[in-house]
Amino acid sequence: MTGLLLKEFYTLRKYLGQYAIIFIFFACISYYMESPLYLMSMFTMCLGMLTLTGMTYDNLAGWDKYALTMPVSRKTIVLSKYLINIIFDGVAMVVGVAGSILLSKLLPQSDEGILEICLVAAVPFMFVIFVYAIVLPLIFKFGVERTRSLMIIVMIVPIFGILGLAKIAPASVFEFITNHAVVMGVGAAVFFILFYIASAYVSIEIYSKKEF
Amino acid sequence: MEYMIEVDGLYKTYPGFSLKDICFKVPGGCIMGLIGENGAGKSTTIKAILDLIHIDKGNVKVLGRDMKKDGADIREDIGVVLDGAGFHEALKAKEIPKFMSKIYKSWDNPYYEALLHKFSIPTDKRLKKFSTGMRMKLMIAAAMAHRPKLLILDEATSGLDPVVRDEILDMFLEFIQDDEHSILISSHITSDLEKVADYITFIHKGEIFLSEEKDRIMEEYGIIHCRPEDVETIEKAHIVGVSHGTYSCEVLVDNRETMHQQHPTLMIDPIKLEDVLIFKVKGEN
Repeated sequence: MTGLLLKEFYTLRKYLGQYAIIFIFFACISYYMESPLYLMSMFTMCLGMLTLTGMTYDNLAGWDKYALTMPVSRKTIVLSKYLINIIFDGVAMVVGVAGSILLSKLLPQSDEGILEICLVAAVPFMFVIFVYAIVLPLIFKFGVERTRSLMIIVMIVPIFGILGLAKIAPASVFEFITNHAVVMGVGAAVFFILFYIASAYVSIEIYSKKEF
Repeated sequence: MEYMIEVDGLYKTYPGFSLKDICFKVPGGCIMGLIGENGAGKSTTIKAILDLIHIDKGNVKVLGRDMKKDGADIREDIGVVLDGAGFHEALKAKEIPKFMSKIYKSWDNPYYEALLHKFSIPTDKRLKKFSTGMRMKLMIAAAMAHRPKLLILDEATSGLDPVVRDEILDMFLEFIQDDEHSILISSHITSDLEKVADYITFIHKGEIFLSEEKDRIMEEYGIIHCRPEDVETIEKAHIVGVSHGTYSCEVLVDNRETMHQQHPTLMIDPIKLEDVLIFKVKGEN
């Protein structure tokens, strides 16, 4: 597993510079929008694409076929993708939170506190987890290229779905959510974690039947 | 452990192609060459051995163990070079040990570096700037760097210039100097296999039509050059294939010496390995 994770790091580390530029870009927009949370959300979702980029490289190099000639099981290969996604997502969240806290200090008119930034950070983090929970089994089944366009749909539909629901939902719903924020937050986190684990099982099943 | 690879009654069906009853054994301390035209089933056989595809029927044992059950463990002792499978282009040769040493317990980094040096592979250049031959050399270095007992190579010498190919073939001969090491190599460059292989397995349309010691094939097979009417006088049981020209014929036979005694007037030449394949394929067409 460590070897597979390190392989991802060495393959993708050339993107570090690009992501540093993206970070600065979002930081500038955040500053002018006077919204530190924007930086954190956008950066986390952007860095979330790195797992897909890594799998595109795998596809081009025929890495999976090669990796399966090494002393690693199919299950380990699948789990390494789920783990590297959490690592990328986690790093993006930590960096995004740090940037947002710094911005909130620079923006005197900003009313977001450190605790609020940390709590809100869970939303894009969980969103990336949710998207990959759907997309990874599809990638293992149909390949990266055929799934790429689907990923955009998987990302856009929930965003517009939630925005749409927010418009039509009665005020009592928001009141309920606000009053039970902690329970709702923990509940959502547990749901996403279980969903991610279930997705990993489905992917292992798909991958174990795959031929190379 | 007597055999490094045992393939028994292997079947695999795809739409339009199938492997049928593939059986062969690779003993320790030897090189087995797989020869066949494009699409004959060489790569599919290798994939079946490595458990990259799910076979319909049959058994595959590698290093005395069942690949289906203990594949991950067995692969610790196998080095593989496959067509169309390898490292990412963004990597450099010097970065490869950083993760390969975590994948293989027995990864020998000084040996890997020595192989890079021997093959004149640049360590600081991204793989996307490598030539086909250089990439192949890197794959061979990576396949050997964990000191495997068995090398499985699919078209590993194609794309290499003759000098490097010769050097690598010598390395393969060095590799099998004891009974603990063997190589299974598929190649369409039959001259390579003529030089190093101990056993040859010919595959055509998903079936093995000859699996024999190379020296025996080279000693016993022969090509008779004769007139079309002479073909009728040759014992049919020993004819492997006939190539008809306008005024003459070439007949591949599997008992050169006996033929020579029976037909002293006919000219009988020794063969090259590719002759067997050419006669088989042409014979069917």
